[in-house]
Amino acid sequence: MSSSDPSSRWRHGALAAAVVALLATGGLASWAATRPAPVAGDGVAALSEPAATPTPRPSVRAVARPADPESVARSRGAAPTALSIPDLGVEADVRGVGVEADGSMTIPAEPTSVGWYRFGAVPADPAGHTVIAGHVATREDGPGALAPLLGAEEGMRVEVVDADGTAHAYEVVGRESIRKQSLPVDRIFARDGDPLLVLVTCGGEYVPELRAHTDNVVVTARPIG
Amino acid sequence: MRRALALTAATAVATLPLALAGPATAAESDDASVVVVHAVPDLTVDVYGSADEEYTADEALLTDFEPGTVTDPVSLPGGTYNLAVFPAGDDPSGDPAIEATGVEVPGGANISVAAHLDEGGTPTLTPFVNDVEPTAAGEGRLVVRHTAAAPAVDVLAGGDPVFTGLTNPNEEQADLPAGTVSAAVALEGTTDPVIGPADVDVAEGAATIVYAWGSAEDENLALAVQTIDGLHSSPSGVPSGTAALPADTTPVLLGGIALLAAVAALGMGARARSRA
Repeated sequence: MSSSDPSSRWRHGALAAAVVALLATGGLASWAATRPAPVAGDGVAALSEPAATPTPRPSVRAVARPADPESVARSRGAAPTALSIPDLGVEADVRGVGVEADGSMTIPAEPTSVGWYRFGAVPADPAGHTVIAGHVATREDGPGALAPLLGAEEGMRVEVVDADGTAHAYEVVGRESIRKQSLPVDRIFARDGDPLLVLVTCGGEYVPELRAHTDNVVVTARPIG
Repeated sequence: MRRALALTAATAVATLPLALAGPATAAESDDASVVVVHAVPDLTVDVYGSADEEYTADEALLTDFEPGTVTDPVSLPGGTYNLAVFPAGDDPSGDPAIEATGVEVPGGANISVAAHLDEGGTPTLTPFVNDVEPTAAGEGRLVVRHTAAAPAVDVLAGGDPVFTGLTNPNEEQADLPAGTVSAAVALEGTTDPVIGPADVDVAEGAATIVYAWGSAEDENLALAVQTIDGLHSSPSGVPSGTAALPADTTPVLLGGIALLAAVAALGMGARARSRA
């Protein structure tokens, strides 16, 4: 078999092309295998059900408290100010946010900021969910701080620093994409039950006409250490 | 004396616009949540609740109850109660300082019973039914109750009248964006505060109930605040993306290469066979 033999050249070419096809197919398979699964860990089942309000038993003795406006004003715990997920390269400033006129949670416009629902729990609270949400991407600024959240996996470490400078460590226990229409808002924004951190961004298909995504990506993390 | 006061109290109950008239038959078996507000100046008292006309020591709801204080909620089975207020330490078998007979406490209801002065300055007991419907996400409920020996008043928030012509023993309420309200009370038609201004924290997901109490004549008008938590609603959604993420082109690229290479392999293989 000499290199001048035309049929041998074609054979070599076919062999080389077959190897490339195999490699590319292998690459495709490994790309598919390393993609984040639709659900990680317990998904949103990791959000505990809101605890039932304990039924108070009849008790006749009452305790009275001073009721002037100053003594009634309550102090809130320290608000979260920074969020990081080292495994995903997430680093974001956290701002307290409320709701929009339509009743949905306010999301900071800047892509490097994420919003903490200031009417819910703070990380230091013994109960209730600390909810932090951010844009996956905006038309103006491209990918947002929480875009990598789609790759969150069980066991990943999440850190939240609050206004007192205290660092609160969490580990991811679940990730799930949920149709926005069926987002379990009462479980996400629960103010009782275990003190979880819930991170929310968008996922699924982007519908340009609505300037919105079909899904929310919800990551649940529980405190560690 | 006892009879007269009891009558006053019973009349107050009967003429209240919100005097426990709500249908409660369905929830009759549930316990009611009752808070007692002490808004009679200069009188430390014991409060008794009884199903009959006699008050005994074990029927004390609370003792050494001081003016300007509010109790934690007490759970009571729904029913009809007689309530009596005695000067602290007095024998409850004697004549009460204030009495309200036949106070209906519907099962499942949330009620505040205020011991306060009527417009003329006579101590009385008034039950108020609290609105514990959920508040919208981001809002709190502000309730103002006139329980002072004073004529009709306007309630000012940030200097502007928000509730006008409020009279003893009535209330007004509104759901507002949560935040601190600079609240003051002025005589009707005026803006010169007779109480306050005081910062009132209208907490999100809670009812903040402000009692204007005391006596205009004695110049001891003041505010007392009761809060009811747990009325919050969740936001309706999380609109966290106004653009598509740049698409991941990896699968298209790899698939294309695989397809092209496979076609090339087949083509070249056929060419090699035909030349063989």
